[in-house]
Amino acid sequence: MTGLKISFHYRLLIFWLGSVVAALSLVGMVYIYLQNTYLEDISLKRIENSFSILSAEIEERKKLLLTKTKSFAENDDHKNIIGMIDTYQDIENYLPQVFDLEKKRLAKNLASHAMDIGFDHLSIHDSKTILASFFIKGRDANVQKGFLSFLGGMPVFILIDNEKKIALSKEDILDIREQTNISHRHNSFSIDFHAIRRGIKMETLTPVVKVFPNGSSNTVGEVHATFLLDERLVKEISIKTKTEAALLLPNGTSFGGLKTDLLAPDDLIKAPPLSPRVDDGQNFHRVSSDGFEFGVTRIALSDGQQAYFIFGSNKAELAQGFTSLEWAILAVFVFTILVVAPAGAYYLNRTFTSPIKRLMSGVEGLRKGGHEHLAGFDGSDELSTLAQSINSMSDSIHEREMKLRESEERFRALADNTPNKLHIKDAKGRYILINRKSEELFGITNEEVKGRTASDIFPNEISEVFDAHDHIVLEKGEAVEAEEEFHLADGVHTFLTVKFPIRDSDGNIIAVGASGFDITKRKRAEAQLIQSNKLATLGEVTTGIAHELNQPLNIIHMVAESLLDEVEDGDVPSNILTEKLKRIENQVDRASAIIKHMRTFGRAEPGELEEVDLNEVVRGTVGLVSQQLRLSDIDLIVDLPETCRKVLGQQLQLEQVVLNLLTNARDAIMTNKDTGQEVKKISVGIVDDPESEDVILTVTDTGGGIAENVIDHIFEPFFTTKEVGHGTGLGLSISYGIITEMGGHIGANNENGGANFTIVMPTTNETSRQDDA
Amino acid sequence: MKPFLIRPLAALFAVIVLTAQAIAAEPEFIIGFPEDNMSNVWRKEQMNEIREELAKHPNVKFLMADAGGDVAKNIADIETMVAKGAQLLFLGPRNPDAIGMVVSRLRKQGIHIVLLTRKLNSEDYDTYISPDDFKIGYEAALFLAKHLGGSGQILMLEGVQSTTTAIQRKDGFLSGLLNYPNINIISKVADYSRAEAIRAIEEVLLDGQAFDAIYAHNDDMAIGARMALRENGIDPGSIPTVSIDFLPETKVAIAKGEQLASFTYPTCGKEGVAAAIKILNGKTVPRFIAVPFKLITKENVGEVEPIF
Repeated sequence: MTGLKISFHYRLLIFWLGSVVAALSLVGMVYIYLQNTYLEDISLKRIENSFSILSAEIEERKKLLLTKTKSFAENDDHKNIIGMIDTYQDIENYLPQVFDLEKKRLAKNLASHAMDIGFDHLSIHDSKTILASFFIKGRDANVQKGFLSFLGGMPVFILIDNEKKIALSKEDILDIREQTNISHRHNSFSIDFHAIRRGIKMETLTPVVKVFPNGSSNTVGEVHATFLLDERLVKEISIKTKTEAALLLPNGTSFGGLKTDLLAPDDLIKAPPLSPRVDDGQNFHRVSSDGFEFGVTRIALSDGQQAYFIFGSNKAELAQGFTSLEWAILAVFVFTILVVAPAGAYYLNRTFTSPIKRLMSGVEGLRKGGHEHLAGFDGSDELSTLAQSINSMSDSIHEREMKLRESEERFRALADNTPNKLHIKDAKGRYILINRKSEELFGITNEEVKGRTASDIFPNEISEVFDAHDHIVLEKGEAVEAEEEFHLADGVHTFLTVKFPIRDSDGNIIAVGASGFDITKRKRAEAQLIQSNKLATLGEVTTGIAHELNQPLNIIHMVAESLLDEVEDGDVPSNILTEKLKRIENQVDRASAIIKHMRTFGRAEPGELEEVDLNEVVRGTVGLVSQQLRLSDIDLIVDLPETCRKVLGQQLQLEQVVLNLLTNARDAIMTNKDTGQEVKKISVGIVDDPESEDVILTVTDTGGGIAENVIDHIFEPFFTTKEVGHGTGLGLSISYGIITEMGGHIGANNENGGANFTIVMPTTNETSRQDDA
Repeated sequence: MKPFLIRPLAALFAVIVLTAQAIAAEPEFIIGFPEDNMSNVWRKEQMNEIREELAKHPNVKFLMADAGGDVAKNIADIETMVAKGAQLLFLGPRNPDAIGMVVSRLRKQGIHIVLLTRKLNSEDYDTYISPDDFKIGYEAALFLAKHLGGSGQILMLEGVQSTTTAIQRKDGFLSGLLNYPNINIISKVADYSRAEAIRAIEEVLLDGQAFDAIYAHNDDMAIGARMALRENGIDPGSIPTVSIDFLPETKVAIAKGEQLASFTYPTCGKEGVAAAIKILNGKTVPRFIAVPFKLITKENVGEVEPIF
């Protein structure tokens, strides 16, 4: 910052010094130029310019003379009037009541026409060159319009503004006579120059021609128009071009005020004709004398004589003007360099450097997190506008900060008050945040874990669990749901944890979040429920088992009884004895098989998954219930494939599920036996399609089906349709949990007036053979 | 043949040839009417009447022109017609001096002049046909004087001052009032024009001059006067007005009581054509042919139709 300040001031100083040098050299150069060539150049330029203007003026007037008099001469009214005068005017017996009236009209028209164009004189004459009406600009630019009347054969000028016939001065009369005079005849439609008392008149004559019906024509008069090249004209030009001027007539009369004594007769002879500006060389004859430059041109008059235009420029006077100009320029430069420039630098410093410094410190404060407004920028200049923008930017940053803080507070409250344990780790596995639940569970604080990895903090067995699945989330960008077990001080805790990616605004994964719900209690309850359900089911089937056991026992009893009878009766042949004892043995085997099965079924431990043959599952279960179903008069149809691929699961749990389904089917049929359903039938079947990866087990009944409004809820815990005391409402939900845990699924629908449950189990591709039906 | 016989024979032969020609075809005549100003409805009607009358003479070629009130143009029109071969001109000169000077030349060339209603200061014409303007002015004076009961102020609106009609209508009127010393005249020139009449009335009213009656040298000026009066909140019926021409508009005004009376003033077209044909055929006509006029008041306004 200090560097910039020095540099800025330094540059200002350099700039100022540079301008001082440049300005002084410029003043010097201008001075030298003025002294040497400028005065002469400017004088000659002014003279040349004067002749150009004069030449252009004369050309312009020539054009006007030729075109504008023609339009006046061709007007029908004018033709009629001058025609009448030409034909009927008799000077000796002049009829003023006829001709004066018409000449008056003509004079009015002449005046308005001439004034529109700027003619110095416009008059109309009859074919005998007798003047009829006229318009002239007088000596003092006063306008005179009138006509020539006759009184007793004598000509009288009458001005129509005063109508007093003798009001004209001698001078006026001379002017009128001189200007309207067309005694020196010349060709029509040409421009002639004549010297008169007031200067040179340039004039043209245009005939007025009357055409008769028989085609003949007659010149009845002439329109005569004049421009004066006089003192007024040269003076006007000399004022315009800042020169002095003179018009010199052949008789030696000179107008315009410029003294022509210095001109030698030779200078007049050398003068070229007046012409416009020429590219190479001058359009005038140059005469240089001490302190004075002259230019001379001539104009040829119609009588062969010459008139001269002279423009002059006084160099000494010019130089005088320039000297004071020089001093003025120098003074301005000195003032600028010595006073204005440093003041400017000071002003620049005050206006820009210090406000910029204040702006910079203000912005620095903003960067550091403050939101103080920049004060003292109330103006409407650019810096104030910038400062006001920064202030409003600071406001919005502050506002956003507040909103962010609020949002963070909301998040923190939410995170700390959820029953879940939460944490967020960055992509490298370092903790960003853990919530209060996590703090309590693991006995650490958020501050302790921040920036550290799980392995930094926890023993291996815990950190492994924490880090499990993180890589899947990071690689696939998908949320992963898993159960986690932590061996904590108060025992094993199971969490259902969702790990999910957190992305930045570009969609890149920058962190992994995890939210875990402690399902330890639920897990325990579930295990207990399965156990109790098993017991309940066992109770349910006890009756069946009793029957099952009763049968072999009866047989044993009967065989034993008959054997006893035969023993009492005498000798028992050994073959019969053997046969009878065999039968007893068989029946004992049968009973012990039942008991063995029952014992395994009641075991609670879930154990590892193993390869299971569903055929066996069905057979084992059917063995438990077949007697019971027979007693209930229900047909049980078992349809098993010859071979069945093995599935991964637990035999006993699967048997429990099938038993549950069969019991439900029976209950449904028994409950609905009065509904008119003729057939009481339960079908159990397995479909093992080698094309499919799954084996499908179905249990179908004719028990009236499941009501449509409850079919979606039947796998929910404690949902039952049975009468109070007949079911726990856990059967199907537990079945659902068991099947799902084994990787299969279970579903229900209604079919042919009954319910149809389908269990789909993935195969292991191990095949079993059905050896017995 | 003997020389003394040659002359009478030749004369006889000539007479025979000329007579034969006259019998074979009527001579062709060219008549021109360079009208002074046809924007005046009366003069326009005069032109129409002459044209219609001349249409009855197929051997007459008729030339027309309108100078729009411009004397120089009128003279140019006359010269053009003469150059086209006109043998007789009808004229109603605006400026008797100017036209008179032209006419005296034409007469020397043998061209016949028939003056209609406006006269010249010279005697260079064949015949002058007109109602008697002096007499009209005179009768108008007596009629108004009687109406005013012998005393009052009369505003006279004069026609184009240089015309003989205006001069005669004024002279006749003033003569008629000689016996009424209690009647005063205010005079304004309005050039026979409606617009000029409006301006004249405005001027008089602005000057604060009072008047009890109006005598206008033509109906057009009387109509203009009425317009100006109405514009200034004066009921035209309250100012008895007498004028000349009896235009259709005047007929309505008399019937409504807005104008007191008007004199018929025939355009003299019919009489002019009759005289012209006679002159061209070498017959003599009187120097002055007076055409009768009529005073129209509310009593007889229904019986007379305006001439156009």
